[in-house]
Amino acid sequence: MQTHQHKAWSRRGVLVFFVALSGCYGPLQIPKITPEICVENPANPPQKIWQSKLPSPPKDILILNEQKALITTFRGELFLLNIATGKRCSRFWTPFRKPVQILLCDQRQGEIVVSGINDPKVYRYDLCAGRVLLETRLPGLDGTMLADEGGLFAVQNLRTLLKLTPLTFKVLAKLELPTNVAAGVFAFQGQPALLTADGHWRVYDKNLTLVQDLNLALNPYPVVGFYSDHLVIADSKGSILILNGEGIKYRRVLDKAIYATPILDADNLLIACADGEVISINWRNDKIDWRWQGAGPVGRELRICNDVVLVPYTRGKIVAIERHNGAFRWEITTDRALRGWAVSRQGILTTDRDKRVAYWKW
Amino acid sequence: MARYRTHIIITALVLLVCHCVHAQFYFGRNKVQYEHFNWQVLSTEHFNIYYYPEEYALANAALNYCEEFLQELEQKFNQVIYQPIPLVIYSNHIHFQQTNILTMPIPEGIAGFFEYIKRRVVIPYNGNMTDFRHTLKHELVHVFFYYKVNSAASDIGAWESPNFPLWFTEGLAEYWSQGWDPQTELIVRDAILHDYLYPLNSYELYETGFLLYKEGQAFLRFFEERYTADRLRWLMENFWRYDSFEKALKGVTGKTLLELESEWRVSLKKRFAVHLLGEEVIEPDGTQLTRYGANVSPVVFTNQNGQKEVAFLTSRNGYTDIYRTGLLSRKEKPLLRAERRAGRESLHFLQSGIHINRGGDLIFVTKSGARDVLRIVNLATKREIGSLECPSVVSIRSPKWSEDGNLVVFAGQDYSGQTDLYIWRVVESQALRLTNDIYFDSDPSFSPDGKLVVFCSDRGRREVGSGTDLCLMNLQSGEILRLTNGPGSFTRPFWAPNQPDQIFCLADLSGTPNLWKVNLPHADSPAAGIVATAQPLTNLHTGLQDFYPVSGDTILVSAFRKYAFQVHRLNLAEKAHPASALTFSVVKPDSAWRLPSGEQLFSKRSRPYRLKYSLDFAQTNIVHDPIFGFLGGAQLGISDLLGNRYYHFLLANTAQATSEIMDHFNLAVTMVDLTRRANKAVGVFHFANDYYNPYEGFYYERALGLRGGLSYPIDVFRRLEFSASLWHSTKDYYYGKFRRATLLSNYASFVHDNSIWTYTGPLDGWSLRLTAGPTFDFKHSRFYNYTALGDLRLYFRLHRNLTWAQRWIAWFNEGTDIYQFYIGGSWGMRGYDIREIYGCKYVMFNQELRFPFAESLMLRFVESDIRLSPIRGAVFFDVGNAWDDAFPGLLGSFGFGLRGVLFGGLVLRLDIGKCTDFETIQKSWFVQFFFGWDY
Repeated sequence: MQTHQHKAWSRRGVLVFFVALSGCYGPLQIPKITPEICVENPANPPQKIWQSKLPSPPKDILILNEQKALITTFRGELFLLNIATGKRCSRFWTPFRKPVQILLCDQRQGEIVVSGINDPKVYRYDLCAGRVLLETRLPGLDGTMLADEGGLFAVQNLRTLLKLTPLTFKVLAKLELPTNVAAGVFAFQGQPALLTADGHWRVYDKNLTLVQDLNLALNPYPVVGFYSDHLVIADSKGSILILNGEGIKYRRVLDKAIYATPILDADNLLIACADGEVISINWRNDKIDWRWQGAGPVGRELRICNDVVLVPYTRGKIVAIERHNGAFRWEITTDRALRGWAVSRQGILTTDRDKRVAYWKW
Repeated sequence: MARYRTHIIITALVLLVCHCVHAQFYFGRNKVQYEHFNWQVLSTEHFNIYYYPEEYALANAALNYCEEFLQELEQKFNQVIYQPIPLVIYSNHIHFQQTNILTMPIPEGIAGFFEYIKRRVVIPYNGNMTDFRHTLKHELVHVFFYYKVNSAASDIGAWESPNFPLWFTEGLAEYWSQGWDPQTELIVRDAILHDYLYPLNSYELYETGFLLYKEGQAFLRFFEERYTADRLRWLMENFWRYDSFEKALKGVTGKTLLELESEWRVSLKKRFAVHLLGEEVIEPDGTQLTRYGANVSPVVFTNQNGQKEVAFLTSRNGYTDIYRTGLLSRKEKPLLRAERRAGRESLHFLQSGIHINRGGDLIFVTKSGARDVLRIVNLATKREIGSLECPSVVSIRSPKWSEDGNLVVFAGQDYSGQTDLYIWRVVESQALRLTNDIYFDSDPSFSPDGKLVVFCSDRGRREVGSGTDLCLMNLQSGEILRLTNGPGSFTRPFWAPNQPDQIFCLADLSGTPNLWKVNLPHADSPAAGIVATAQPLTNLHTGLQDFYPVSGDTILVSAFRKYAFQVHRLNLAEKAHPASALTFSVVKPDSAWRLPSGEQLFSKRSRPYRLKYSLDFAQTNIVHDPIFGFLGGAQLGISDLLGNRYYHFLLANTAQATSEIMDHFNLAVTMVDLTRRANKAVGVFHFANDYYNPYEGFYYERALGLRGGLSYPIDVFRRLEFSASLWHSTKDYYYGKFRRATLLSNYASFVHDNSIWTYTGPLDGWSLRLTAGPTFDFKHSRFYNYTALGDLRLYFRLHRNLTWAQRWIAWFNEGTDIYQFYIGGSWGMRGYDIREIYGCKYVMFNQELRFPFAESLMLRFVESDIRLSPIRGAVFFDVGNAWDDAFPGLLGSFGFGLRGVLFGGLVLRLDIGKCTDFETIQKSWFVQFFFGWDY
């Protein structure tokens, strides 16, 4: 009886969340993460509320609402967590035992579309009912999908651009690319665009015809951030680019590798380098506002919470520095190397190398 | 005691008990624990450095360098290490060879290793901080690579570790630790010039050893330059997506390995063609004085007939020997053999050299037990006339006589790891230390008047690892001056004969080491401020290892050609000297690099080492035997981090029914202690099983007892072994008889082994094992049985690749409960079935002529190839027999055979011949096929 009650509560919670956020969005959307979050009190370090261990290594965290977070793992699992207590509300085991990626969320219906890397199929899940709605053969889907009125755009086996039907995932068109895809697919001026491993920015129309090919002279696997109409790209040789529909708006080369997606904070560009340095550049006048040196690489995106910038160091620290002058504010330490993290208005969720999930409340 | 049985699990136990006590290996060289180190641990957040107090400064420097490399490699790999890395440091290679982390003897060519099970890095210091930093970083690249690829694999729950080829892992470690270097340039240039660059996935490349590292390094440089390091990282992170390395490589580049290799070869040819246009190539013409193997350190002497000859170090036989040849014509003959007996365990090939004074006294360095010894041998009498063993000096390199033959200058490495210069006054037999600092001082040479010593040192450079210079020391004042000042490295200085103002040396300014000459004004009293000029004398495309100036224009060089060093005689007068010359202002070597202390950079703490055990292996076995049914068991091995102490546990049960469980319970615990020179093992055991013995039939036996073993290595080649077992045994024969006994057995052995091996078996040297021991029955106060064994194996090297092998073996058992030997088969009496000749005593004499037959045999299949390489032939003659009571007369067999090596280690044996009883010869030919090495 207790179990049934728990499940019912869990489903209601998910439904409430999806309905709450559905708004004017279409049914299938890319799970988006907002870099800037407004929290109540970021002046002091958050306190660890709970810590639990997952049965398999966590891959990504997606905070769904104030109550729930979705965690994907490298071994084919999806966990729905109660953020306040750390209890697992539901566990979905995908039919493949491969790293899972959430391609799309249907916020209205409480559905997700997932694929496993190297797995031949794509699955559409009903989170509330806990069942597979659609199972279709579409091998090698990888990376970010684009969903718009024209259909779904996805990359297959790193080398093929696909156009799919939104609900059934039928292939409408396909295009073999000259080289591997490094990042994409993005919506760029209403058209699908992607970054290829030869450093080119390629924009296609809805029929997959190439409409723009821009050689950005980047290393093969850059990190890409998409902020309203601006695209921010950085690579392992330290090249930083800001791009919009008019072309390249800003370019600078730092002599250090960048593995974390930079953040565009109005006129400021926040960059976390592999050597642990965080740099704030006013890209309008190309001046460095401030620098802050931390220890070890930064492998995940920064987050801005009110007036602090949170930097997730892979060695297992989250450091808060002042947004406007780079002064050290506070830090929290995970027991092991940090793998993933997500920030919400209520707190921070972290996962580490030891399969542990922890919740830190502001 | 033991009997014929089918219990695989019990056999596994016996192997386990024997595993780490060297005493228990049948043959094999010894790892001798000459020193007992007082281990300490220096810890930071990322490293645990294991060191002994004498090398604290080195450990501290290593810690600082490691922290520096860690930050760099974290960025390079985009990976963090989430456990402290254990790093074991030895202050010199002789100490390193005593490590128990690897149980096998460690050759001199190994500069350090990363052990994957406990993720330990073990590194010796060779006195050169540049090399030390390179090795540290090389091993740390392995650590990062391990974490990078295994993290990705373990995340997805992969059953096996990603299988990257060795050329990739070692090439990456080389390239990401030192980039490009003159040694790699020399080897790769030579490989391109002489067209022996092996395909990266070929078996031949794996057989070359060091070339695999260098080809991997060269390929990865090309790959990173053309395809960027991002693709290498992506390959490591995403290897699990693919079935093989080749598919992963194609996934990341879109090209096959073959296509990439083709691009790489073209790029290398283009790169080197530019150099080749203006450089010389050394040819195997009349000036080449050596032919086989690698030959270095040439030195000229006058023989008893007054003719000039050249002595040199050579590795042509597998051992390092000193050979001689004519100065004007090639007549290579052995001069002094080494590495076959205690006291002359190693001549430190490619690390040290030899020198001969005017009186014909040869000086050389040999490893002798716990340290190196300088030895002088008079070439006329071939007798050792002097030796020097300094208690404070562990390693010695590059001794050189003074012109008058009274002094010897050499580089010595002390217990703390420092390499400094020493002078040995031969008559007084005294050694005097000339320098005493952290800088790497090497290859000293006296000036003609004996007042100055020129040597190579990194003491003048501002940064460690930026190269070495020539330095001068005034022996009267002790003042040191720096002659050269980069770029590149100046090494191996040698004062020109009878020309006090000229010093020859090697310099790598052209990319590979070439011969240079430094002109030194005011050579009688050089002072700071004078200007020295340096001019290249050779412009060779590949390069030189070392040289010896015979006269003003004639120089002997050891030049690299076709992946070997050969001694050539160069006439400099015939050479067009490259015009470029450098000038250097002679200065005092101030403001040089310092050892880092890192006190402010990170917190560290030191504590004594404590034994903490962790798992080495754990496995379970379930087997089925047609007579004894299903048998199951598990074994477990644990050891401490330094590998000094091992515990082995065995648990097995052979019961066939629930009621039999307690009657078939097997348990054994063995502790092996390798801390000291005498290796010890003690254990308790309880075995209860059904057995079969041809003398007694089927029976059940329960044995409960203690076992102890001790192995004392006299030196690297010889050891004494003792073992004792005390156990209570109850036997229940199936036909009703019952026996109860308390038995004590003792065995003593003497073992000698200095043999060297090729792929199929021993090639040279000799091995001997003598074992004897009785067993007593305490309960009945009677003698129970005895065993005596003599096994002598002689390998006569008739030619470089031709060996005549002999095995003389006699083994006797007598008494109750004894072995029965079966001597037929491919490893014993060939041509006979394994059970055809048996008894509790046997004698056997085998003779075999071993010769090379073919380079390789390739069997091509659709999916893959199978290659046997090399294939060796043998002509054999076996004589022997086994018996119980009366000697039945000798049996024999003769014939020929082939041995092929599969997958680099598995030897397939084919023997064809005829048997004889020495009265008649079998009419038909026998054909035997089996696996295993030659005796």
